[in-house]
Amino acid sequence: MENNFEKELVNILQGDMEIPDKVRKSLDNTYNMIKKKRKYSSRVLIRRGAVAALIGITLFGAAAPSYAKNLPILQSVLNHFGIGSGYNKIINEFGVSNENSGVRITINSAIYDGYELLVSYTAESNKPMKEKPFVNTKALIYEGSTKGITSFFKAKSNVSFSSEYGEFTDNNKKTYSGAIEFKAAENNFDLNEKSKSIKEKVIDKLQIGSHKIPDKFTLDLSIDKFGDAQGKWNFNLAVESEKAKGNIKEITVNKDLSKLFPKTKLEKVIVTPIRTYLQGTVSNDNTFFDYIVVNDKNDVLKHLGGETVQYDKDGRYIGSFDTASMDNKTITIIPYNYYQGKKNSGVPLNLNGETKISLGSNKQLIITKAEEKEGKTYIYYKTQFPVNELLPFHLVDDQGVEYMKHEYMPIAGEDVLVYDELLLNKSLKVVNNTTVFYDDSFTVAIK
Amino acid sequence: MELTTLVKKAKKGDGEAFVKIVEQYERVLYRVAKRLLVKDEDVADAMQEAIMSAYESIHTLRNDEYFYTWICKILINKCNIMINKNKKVICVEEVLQQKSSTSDFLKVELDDALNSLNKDYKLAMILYYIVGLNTKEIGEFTGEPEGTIKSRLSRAKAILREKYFHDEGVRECGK
Repeated sequence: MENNFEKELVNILQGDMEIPDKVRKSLDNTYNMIKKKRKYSSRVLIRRGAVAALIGITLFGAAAPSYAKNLPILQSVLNHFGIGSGYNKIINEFGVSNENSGVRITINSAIYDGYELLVSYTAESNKPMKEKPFVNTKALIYEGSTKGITSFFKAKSNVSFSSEYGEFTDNNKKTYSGAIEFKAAENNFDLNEKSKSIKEKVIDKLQIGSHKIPDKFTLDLSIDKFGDAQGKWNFNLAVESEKAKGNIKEITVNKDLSKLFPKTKLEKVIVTPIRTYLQGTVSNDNTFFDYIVVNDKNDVLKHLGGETVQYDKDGRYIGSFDTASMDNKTITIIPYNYYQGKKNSGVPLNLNGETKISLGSNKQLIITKAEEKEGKTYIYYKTQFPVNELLPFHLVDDQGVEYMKHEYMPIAGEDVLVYDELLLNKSLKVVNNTTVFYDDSFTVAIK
Repeated sequence: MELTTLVKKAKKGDGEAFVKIVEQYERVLYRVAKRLLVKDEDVADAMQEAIMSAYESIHTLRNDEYFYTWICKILINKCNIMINKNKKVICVEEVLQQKSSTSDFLKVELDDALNSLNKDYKLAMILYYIVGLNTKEIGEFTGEPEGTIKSRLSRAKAILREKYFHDEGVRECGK
């Protein structure tokens, strides 16, 4: 009889459950939406990616690497990750190679600023590569030895991969130079405390803290796929991180924003040679809560990346922005939230004049022009106020199909969102799902 | 293609790769949401919101190997938000209608008993039997000590067992 009970219980909970048509249809719509949003999301992720800074790296041991001529990071790669000249303060250049399956990979340098870690490499193949290679990488960082690392990190990867970028440096596509971006906060250096819960490990310790960074640590970098080539390119790198520690400036803010969203607080502004970081807490109800940062010359700092980790009802946030110029004495921080899935009715797009979009706090954005060129749609807009640069608005047709911008580009001094299809024959509305809390902005002294 | 390769592609904005991953888990996700929300229209909404949220925030996934538990967590959060916001009371008729295809009386009773478990017990059962986590992993997932999880599972099964054998007895008497 007891066996029957267990069997019935398992049957009920694990038994085959057909997905009904109603749910199937909704799932298929969701999948189609995601496939359509590909380029938009790619753009967002790239912009949310972007990196930084350095760690002195020296090498030891590992799979008999050989030493090769070190190559500088391509300027185009630095530009892609938004790295200015400040990286020279925190970079260590070196060269170590490993060859497998006809591909020789050389790690050229690493930049680490206490949070963002950019590892640059050059790959030389004995035959032309078909396309830009996809690099399958794992990275584990630790202080001391691997002894005692908990099973939580048994996957041999505790550093968050953000993005990668590179370019061929020769015409026959045999040499490729790029960089892989990771993020390594305080929690990445704390692998051995078995008693800690996931919340403590992942949420509470998602913080940039110069005092928590060891003077040196080990970065185990393993690549098992490079383009079409399979193999094992393993690098065991001893990282001297003192340069990063000596170049971090932390400003405690503790601005309580819980009147806007529960549990939301901006705790710190952290300035490094290559980034300005905002760090704080969020609740799990406001995944897309973020900040616009303006310097004292009224320029908006480019949003370069970010990380929000949520667990239960708690969450922590780190946002990466351009480093404020050394002349800047203050930055102004404006909170905003993008309400994903909000069914705003929107405003009809006026093809013959201006379309006014509310931004929040009685401020507006004005669409001045819409035109189609070479298979694309261009929507021009202007505003006196800083906006959510990732998605100031989107378009919806009368069938409810949403169109997200594929890219942003300034044209002749105007801000323009570009859509990779012709849209102006549709009945379009402009929807802004972002509310910017201009009235709740605040200024922080950074000097 | 390997899961981690797909996740990496999804992190770069490859929607096709993301959809491929989710399709592998959609039946489990459906079972989880169905057990928590019961009504298919709520289940559809929760799954849609969870999948979109996961896609938009996949860059926050720190370990690619944990995609499965990560998306389950997002879905459970969405379900809990819906439950809390709507304070949904499932009409008896709706529940019965949902179960009309289940012919076995004891199965229906056990199913009802499962639905009536308190939310902590129910979540532990879902994570153990449907998601397939062990008690240690459930503890990490919920932020509770492993002992608490073991106790909840044991208590939940005791309640269900009691209900099962009680109704078995009723049926026997009624014959």
